[in-house]
Amino acid sequence: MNACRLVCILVCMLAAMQAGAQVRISGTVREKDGGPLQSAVVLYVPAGQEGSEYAITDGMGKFSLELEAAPAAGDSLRVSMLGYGTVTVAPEAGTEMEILLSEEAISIQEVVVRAPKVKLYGDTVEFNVQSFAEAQDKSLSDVLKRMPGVEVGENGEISYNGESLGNLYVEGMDLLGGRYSLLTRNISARDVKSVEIIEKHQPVKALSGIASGDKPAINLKLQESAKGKWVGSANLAGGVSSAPEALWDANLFLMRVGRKWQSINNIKTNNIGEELKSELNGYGILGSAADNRPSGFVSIGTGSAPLDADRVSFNQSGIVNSSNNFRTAEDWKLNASVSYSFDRLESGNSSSTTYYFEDGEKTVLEGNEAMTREHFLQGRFEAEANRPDFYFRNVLSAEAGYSDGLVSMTGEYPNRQKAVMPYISIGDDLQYTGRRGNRAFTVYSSNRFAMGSENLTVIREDGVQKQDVGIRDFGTDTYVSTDFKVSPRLGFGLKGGLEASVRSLESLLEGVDTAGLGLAGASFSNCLTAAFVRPYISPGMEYNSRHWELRLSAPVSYARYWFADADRFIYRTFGSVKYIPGPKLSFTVSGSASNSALDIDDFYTGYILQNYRYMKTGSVNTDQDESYSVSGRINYKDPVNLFYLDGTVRKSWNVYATSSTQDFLGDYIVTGTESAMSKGSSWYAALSGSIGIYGINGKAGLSVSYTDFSTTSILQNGVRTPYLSRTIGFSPTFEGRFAPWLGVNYALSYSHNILSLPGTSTSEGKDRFNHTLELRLTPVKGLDITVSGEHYYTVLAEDYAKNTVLVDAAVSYRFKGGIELSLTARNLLDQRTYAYSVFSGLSSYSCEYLIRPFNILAGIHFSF
Amino acid sequence: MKCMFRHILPFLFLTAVSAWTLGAQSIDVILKPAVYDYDSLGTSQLVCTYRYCMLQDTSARMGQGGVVLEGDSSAVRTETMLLLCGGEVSKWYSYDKFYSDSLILESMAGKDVNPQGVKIGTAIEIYKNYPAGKLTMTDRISIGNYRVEEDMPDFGWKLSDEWKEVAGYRVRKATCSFRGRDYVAWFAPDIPVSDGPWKFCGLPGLILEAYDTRNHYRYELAGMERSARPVRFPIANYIDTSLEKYYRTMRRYIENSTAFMSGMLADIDPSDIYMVKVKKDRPEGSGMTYGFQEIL
Repeated sequence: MNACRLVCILVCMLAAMQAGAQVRISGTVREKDGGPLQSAVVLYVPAGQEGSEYAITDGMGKFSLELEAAPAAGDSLRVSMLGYGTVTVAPEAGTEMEILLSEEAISIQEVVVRAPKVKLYGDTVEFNVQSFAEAQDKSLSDVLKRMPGVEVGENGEISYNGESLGNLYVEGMDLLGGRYSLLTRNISARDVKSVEIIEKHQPVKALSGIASGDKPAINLKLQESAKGKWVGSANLAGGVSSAPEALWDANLFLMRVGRKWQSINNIKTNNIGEELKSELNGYGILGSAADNRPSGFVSIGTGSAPLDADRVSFNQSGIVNSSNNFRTAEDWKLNASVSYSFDRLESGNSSSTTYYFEDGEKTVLEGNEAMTREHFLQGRFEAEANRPDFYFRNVLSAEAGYSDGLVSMTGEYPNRQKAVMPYISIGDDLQYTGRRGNRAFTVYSSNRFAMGSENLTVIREDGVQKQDVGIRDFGTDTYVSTDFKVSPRLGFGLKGGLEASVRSLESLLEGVDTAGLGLAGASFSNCLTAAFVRPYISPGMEYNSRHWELRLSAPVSYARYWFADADRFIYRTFGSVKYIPGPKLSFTVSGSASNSALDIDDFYTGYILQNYRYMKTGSVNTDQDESYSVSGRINYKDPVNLFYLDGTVRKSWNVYATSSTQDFLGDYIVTGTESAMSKGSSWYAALSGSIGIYGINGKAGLSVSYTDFSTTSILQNGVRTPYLSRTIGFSPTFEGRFAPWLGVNYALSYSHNILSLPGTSTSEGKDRFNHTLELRLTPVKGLDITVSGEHYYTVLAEDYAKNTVLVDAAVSYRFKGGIELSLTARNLLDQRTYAYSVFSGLSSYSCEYLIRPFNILAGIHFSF
Repeated sequence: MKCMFRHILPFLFLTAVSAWTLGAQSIDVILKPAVYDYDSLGTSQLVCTYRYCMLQDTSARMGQGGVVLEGDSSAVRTETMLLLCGGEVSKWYSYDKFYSDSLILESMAGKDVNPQGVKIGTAIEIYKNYPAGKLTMTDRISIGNYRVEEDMPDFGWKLSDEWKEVAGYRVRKATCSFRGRDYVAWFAPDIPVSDGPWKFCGLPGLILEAYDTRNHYRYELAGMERSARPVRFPIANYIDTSLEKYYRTMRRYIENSTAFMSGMLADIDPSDIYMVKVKKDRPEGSGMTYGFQEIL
């Protein structure tokens, strides 16, 4: 019995030992008909599993695997190696296995190197330009439009996530001082590697860490192939329209971004409706209007319809610009630029204007043919040093403009008008900011002198009116300011300065039938000098923590006005609180209260004719208006997932001490102001969002807006005429590439506008609806076909609406080496007019406007 | 701001660029890239491109793709690295370094290229199975070329049953502890190449993604091309040393670069200098410190 037990125990122990023992599988991997193979992967795959035991063959092709248990039936050994066919064999424990592999073509699926579309570093978002670019994109502007969160206005102004852009740099250098359209609308997208967007950028290095910047900035990183040499593009196109008229479009863009010298040059001319002068507009922090014409009176010219300029503008335009940047000592740069532009525009329309009164309405039918010409010349010289210890910038600019125009009117008030308006302007902006530790101080002075004259002649059947105006204007704004941090989170700023302006006005109006208008004894001439001096002080505070940002500022000033002989206290307080729960989301609440300064441009007493219909009477109003507003904003951004959302609600109230007057006297409407209390208020709400769609290089966007504006500030023929205007707008957009050969853009825009005069039966609504569908086809590489259709639906009168359909088509072929040939046909259905209707103050204006007829253009484009 | 460098060496200062601090000034000496003859070590069959991201400031947080989840943009440094593999010997080196060297050489040859502002990558190169069964790392500290030979490391990989997709491949998770860090690697069993970024190897498939568990270092496959390329080893005057001595040299260089450089400076042939940059105020945070946990 005992012996039996002992045997049992021994058997059990042996069995246990056997189970615990490891099984060794070893062998050699060889090439069929060849030597041993090193680095082959030998994987033991138990039946139905993935397998976790493996070995890599050594220099002799040997491998050895220790298994926990003997292999079961169905288990296998998988042997694989790059360049050889994978072999699966049954594992054999206890023997030296020999496994033979035969050569086989490598069937590895390649992985294409793709730079990420978006990179996010703290406060910087970097968009990879090439991953957003489409083959037919010519300029960077085209690609920017496709980037989520980025909007490019029709005038070229760029904004990011609802904030207009503060600065645009190329390789970290500000080459154009705010006139970035000269670059973005011309530089080839292929030359740009990436677009870096820096939020809350502080452009002045000496202020960094003391005062936070509040605008985003863009830094363009160029492709290596575009650096240190001349690159550019040229375009030449010619065509004909069914008008018939010969068409041209030519431009040359040359850029060199080197270490010491950067140069941007443009020559462009066309008569295909493309507006060019706006490329000279400055935007952002350093921006300034392209022209500094003194604010004047005479207003005649070509009208503009709410359609793209290249649909309605009968133009001959040209622009020449050269901007050169020299980097001298480290951090110093000199920039010299000279620009010239020429514009000749023609337009024609027939219109119906309805004026609403408390006791009825009046409709005037007219026809208008106009031609204007403008020459504009500008020179600019800038010196800048942007260093951590100080900042210096001086911009000296001079410009001259000459414009003239001819307008002939038919209808209720037939006449011909002729105007000539030359001007010159010279200005200098200087800023110096010094820094010591956490304290910075700034001296800033902006001075500008402008003079111009305006001559208007109106020839009517019953007489000729002549208006001559001469204006000389000098303005200065000079201040010192200091910014300092008392703690890393809390900073203060204090600004004190002087704003002053002197303006002299001479005018004479001849030929008006004063008695007939009931204006006998009124003055039709002015010869005066008005001026003001306004010393001001502006304290400010900012607090920044991880979750909160607080801004307060309360500028106060005391102004002395000559000519009106008045002294006024002016204030403007502003405060905002921003709550940032996380890196993507922020809420802002802000409010402001202010009273208005007096406008010395209104200080005159004699009547001045603006055009055949409008006459302005000056007034020496010394009453101040009050305005208050509160607003809330929500902003969400998720750049990695390409999602942006921005919503704003704003309510504002105005208490006017003066009312605008509008009197219908004979053929004229006389406008002016009068001391009389009135009120106005408005609501504004908007929500816009965009989302990038990865797979199709797409972007979908939606914006919705609501405006409600009411005022009692208009006295029409002496009768207070309150009115209310409401607009609801809705515009979704979509673009994407559904297949390598098919891209689609769709945009829709709808608005409903109501004008009503409370207390009267007048209440009118207008609907406007338009949508555009564009198909971009790429049947073979290099060949692009674009077909687009636009449909406009406009309600012109209560029971009359008009549909307009415009169809365009373009085909282009890109050869290797950057040459592209194109053929563009616009307005294939040869529509000749476009009708629209808008409310403007207390009137409704409906117009049938001449548009560019069917035209066809053949061109060659190449970039180098 | 605590900055750190652990297993891969600092980029800027140990490559062709040498920097040291004099008072408030810092001086970067950019040496001309050396032009070497090469030993051919065979042919690779795959060219893999990896995006390498390193967190320089551990108070920040890095996510996938080197995205900064928290902190400043300067916290993450990225570099494009190449792995030539699939042959007998594999080579890991910096594409950025190769690119900047090429540009500097072109510009020295009078071509109109501007190397200014181009990212200068690390000089470290890693050769696996060279010499046979060993791993060789070369680097340049100041003007010295260093060569460190070690046994092919045993990572002690543990395979787990987690799978995901990277660059179109089904990849499997493996973990290991290596020289003080815990790593996660994702390898593709369908690519039977037992190799990977940096020193990583020894898995039954190519490693397409690897990172340490604290997410201070990340390697992600960005591209893969079937292409036979020669694997070449520069013939230079190497200072052969051990891993420990190499780290000691680097520590001396980083912690006391002025003394180190003044010792070295005597040896620099002025004609070897491509550019000297003097910066007045050294930006905060570039006083980098190195943990040297390998030798402490």
